Amino acid sequence: MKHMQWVALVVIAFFWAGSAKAQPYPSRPITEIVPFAAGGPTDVIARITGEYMSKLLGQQIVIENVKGAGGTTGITRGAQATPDGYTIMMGHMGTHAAAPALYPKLKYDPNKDFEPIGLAVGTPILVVVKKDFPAKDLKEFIAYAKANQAKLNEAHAGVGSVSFTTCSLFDSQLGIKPAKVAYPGAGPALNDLMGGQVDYMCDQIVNVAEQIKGGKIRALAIATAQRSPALPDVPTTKEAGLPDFQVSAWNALFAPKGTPKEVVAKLNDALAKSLDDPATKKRLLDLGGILPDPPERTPDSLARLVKKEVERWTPILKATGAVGE
Amino acid sequence: MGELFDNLRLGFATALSLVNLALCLGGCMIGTLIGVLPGIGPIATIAMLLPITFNLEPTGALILLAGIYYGAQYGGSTAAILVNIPGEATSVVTVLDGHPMARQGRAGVALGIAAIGSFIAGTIGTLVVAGLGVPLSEVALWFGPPEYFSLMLLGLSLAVVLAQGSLLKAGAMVLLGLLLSTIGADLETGQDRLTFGFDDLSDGLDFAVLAMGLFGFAEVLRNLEGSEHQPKIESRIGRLLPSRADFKQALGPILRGTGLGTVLGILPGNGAVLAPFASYALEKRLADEPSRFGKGAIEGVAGPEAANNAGAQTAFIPLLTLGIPPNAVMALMVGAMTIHGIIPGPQVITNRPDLFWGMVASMWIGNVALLAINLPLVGLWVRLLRVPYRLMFPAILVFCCIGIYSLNNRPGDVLLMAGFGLAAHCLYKFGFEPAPLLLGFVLGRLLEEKLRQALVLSRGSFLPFVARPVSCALLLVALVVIIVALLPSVSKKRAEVSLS
Amino acid sequence: MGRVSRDLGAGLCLLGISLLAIWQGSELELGTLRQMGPGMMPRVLAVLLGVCGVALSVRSLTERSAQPSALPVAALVAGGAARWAPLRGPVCLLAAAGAFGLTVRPLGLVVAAPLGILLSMGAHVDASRGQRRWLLESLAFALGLTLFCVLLFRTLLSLPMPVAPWLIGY
Repeated sequence: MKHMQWVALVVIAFFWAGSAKAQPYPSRPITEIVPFAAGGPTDVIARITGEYMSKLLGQQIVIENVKGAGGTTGITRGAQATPDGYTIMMGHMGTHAAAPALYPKLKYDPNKDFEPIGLAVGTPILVVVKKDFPAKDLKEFIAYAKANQAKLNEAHAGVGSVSFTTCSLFDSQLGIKPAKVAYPGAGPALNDLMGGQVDYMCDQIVNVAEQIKGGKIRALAIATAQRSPALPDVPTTKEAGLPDFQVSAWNALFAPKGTPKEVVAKLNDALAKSLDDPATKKRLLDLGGILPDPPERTPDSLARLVKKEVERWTPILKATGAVGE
Repeated sequence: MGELFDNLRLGFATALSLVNLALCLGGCMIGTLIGVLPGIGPIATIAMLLPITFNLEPTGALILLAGIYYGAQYGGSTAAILVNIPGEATSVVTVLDGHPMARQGRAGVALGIAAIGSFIAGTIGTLVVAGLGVPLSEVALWFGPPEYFSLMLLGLSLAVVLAQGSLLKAGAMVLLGLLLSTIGADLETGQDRLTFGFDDLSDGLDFAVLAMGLFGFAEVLRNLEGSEHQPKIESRIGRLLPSRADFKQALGPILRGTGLGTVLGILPGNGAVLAPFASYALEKRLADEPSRFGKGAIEGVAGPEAANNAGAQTAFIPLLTLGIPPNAVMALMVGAMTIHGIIPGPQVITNRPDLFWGMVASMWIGNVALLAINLPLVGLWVRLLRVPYRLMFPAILVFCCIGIYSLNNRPGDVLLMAGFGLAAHCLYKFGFEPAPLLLGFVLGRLLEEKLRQALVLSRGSFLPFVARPVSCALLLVALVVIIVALLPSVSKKRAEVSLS
Repeated sequence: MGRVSRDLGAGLCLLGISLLAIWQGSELELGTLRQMGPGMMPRVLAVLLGVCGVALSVRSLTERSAQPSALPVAALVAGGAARWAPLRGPVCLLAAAGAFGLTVRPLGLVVAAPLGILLSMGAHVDASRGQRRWLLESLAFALGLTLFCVLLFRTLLSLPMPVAPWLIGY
């Protein structure tokens, strides 16, 4: 008789475990891998959108930070996860466009190993200089840079970072080869820029906006078509004389290849709706982010973007000769 | 002055609201708990609690997270003193004299003076943040790569003062620590260095893995080796709190430690980690009987504890005034602020004075709370020492394993810790000390980063290191420290103290 | 029998580590002073470490005074049961950590923790009590401690630790 209790328990346990799989998606918390340290721009965007998405989906989205190698460590782990919709990842321009050119041993293909879910937010890039840099605007900067290449010091947050990638484009468009000084993150790079130890850098608006407003550094231009409401005094690159430099660091959600289409659709819907939610929208816009228009929010649109971006960045980055591992 | 008082009044009004007070206390308690537990640190906890803070007011959220941060500093000293395991990089120095004090039955005194010293440092630190925050942040910006490098060299030179035994062996340990810090992906190129092909090592070694292995694991091994199979702890407990005489002896170190911590804490890039080491070295130099250090000198606990708490307070300065996080924990705070729509930067102090001053006020309240929490707990902790060692050490071991595993969810980390423990045991047998190794490890990354940056900026020249005034001054001090240590009279004393 | 002078052993140890590091880092670029490559710092440090090792070894050889043996050579040579006694501690603890590491993910804390605790307790057998009693006590202690850990780490601190994936799913 004693044993019957145990048998009953085991039977119940089996049924319970089995039934969990039959429930509609999502029936348990979803892990969202953010391939950068907590507190950084990508992480913040993931958390802000994730909060609203959690409400819509009825299950908590749990952020897991897996940093390393410019974000590729986390993305690799996500790409190799079980494609059941319970592991997704927030990638960005660095991980899904620049990585193939910078990391020859990359263990994933941005075009093939993922199911794109949707674009989240884009953050515009600015060209910023130290406070007492001898150039008043972008045109003077270009002239000075061409004449004084050897003396110029550019800060970046490490090979594979947004600041590295975007400034590579900037430098190649100007035809200059400054000395590149590596920092372990955007914060330390910005710190030395404020201290006047380096001359300039290219970085996302959310990292530099406050320091610009506080007068600690100066912005020469913003690399978007229109001025940002967060920094209305900064001219666009088009206005300032370098119309070809149009970059924004886009962030997007991906799922591993093989994730069922209905799951992807549900996640895409939740993401798109979170971008329309007034509170979430406000937070993202306050960061200086650019929200994608509805047609840009589909998985197909994201797939096209990834393809285009990989093609765009590969030749530029290969030319810099930088190699990660 | 009047303006300062007004601001402080605003701050206290904000911080003393019922909600914020509760959050402060909660944060401090959680922080103390995770500080005591080996392996788990404030970074992991704060990252986990970030989502919870969504529903709180930004000021409240930051108060909670900040409470966890300095709570962990207090808790880390407890673990260091009781079980010889440094929870954080800043508690490494506390084990040197704190644990010997515990073995002599003076655990209560050690814990008490650590708490009191931290409180005094915290109070002064808070005042500094309140009054001098903005001008100090400007000063911090003068520190460029060459200055930082020289500072790190100075830090390493302190190892010779820190060590008790042979200088050559201490130097070798520093070098080994530096070497260990290079393991992992290179900063500039991303290439794996010294990883022996293990992917797990791509991120480098975790401080906790090294510290647990060197101090936790190796300590257990060492104790089990003795014929009694346990550490020699005085059976009588002795005083539970510091006496007047103890306090008098500790006051100077506390004040000096506070000074060091305050100054080093404002340096972005985690210069604050140097403060406890510097304080220890200073106190050892100033003491009449330096041979007492390493055997339970109260100054060796009071100074560093004050230094690390002062550093923890002033670490908020670059965050709150410039928007630049000086270490990983502060980077999380940036995230927390950003999520709440407050983008950290130079304007926070003018746009959101309630946030800035509320945080400043709650810093002090947090220190009061921590003193109130930790002092009564001293009795409890001391009683814990009486648990038979055959039960203690498996508990220590399993806590270490869980703590280490929780860092990255990697079983490999646990094995790595065990490996380091064994290696440390062998090193101990050969007469090496672990403290200089940890010092080298902790400073290694920053040292190399700054050296490389400085050399790029100077196009390969070493001139700026001596041409720039601050850098030159730091290098000279480092030189003096080493020369003084090498003088025959000093090294003879050292020979008497060397480990048998 | 052979006395391994402590400092000589120490010096050789350092030399060994240094050579290991140089070998591992041999493929890394050294770069120039202007642009230090990834290999420069490890190489320089390894070389300095090797120098320390040589210095230590040389010093030990030139010193007259005998030094205590570092390793339990005498015990190992003596043979018998005493040969293994000094190794018991390290082996048990290593086994404990290893067992924990290998079982925590697939089997969760409820298996890994008791395993770790029991194996580590093997390092310190109290001969005064009976074998059976010791076993029961240890088991009880292990299970109790495991429960405490689960409550503390999983419930209170909500750390994402696997408790018993084979039983309750997480």
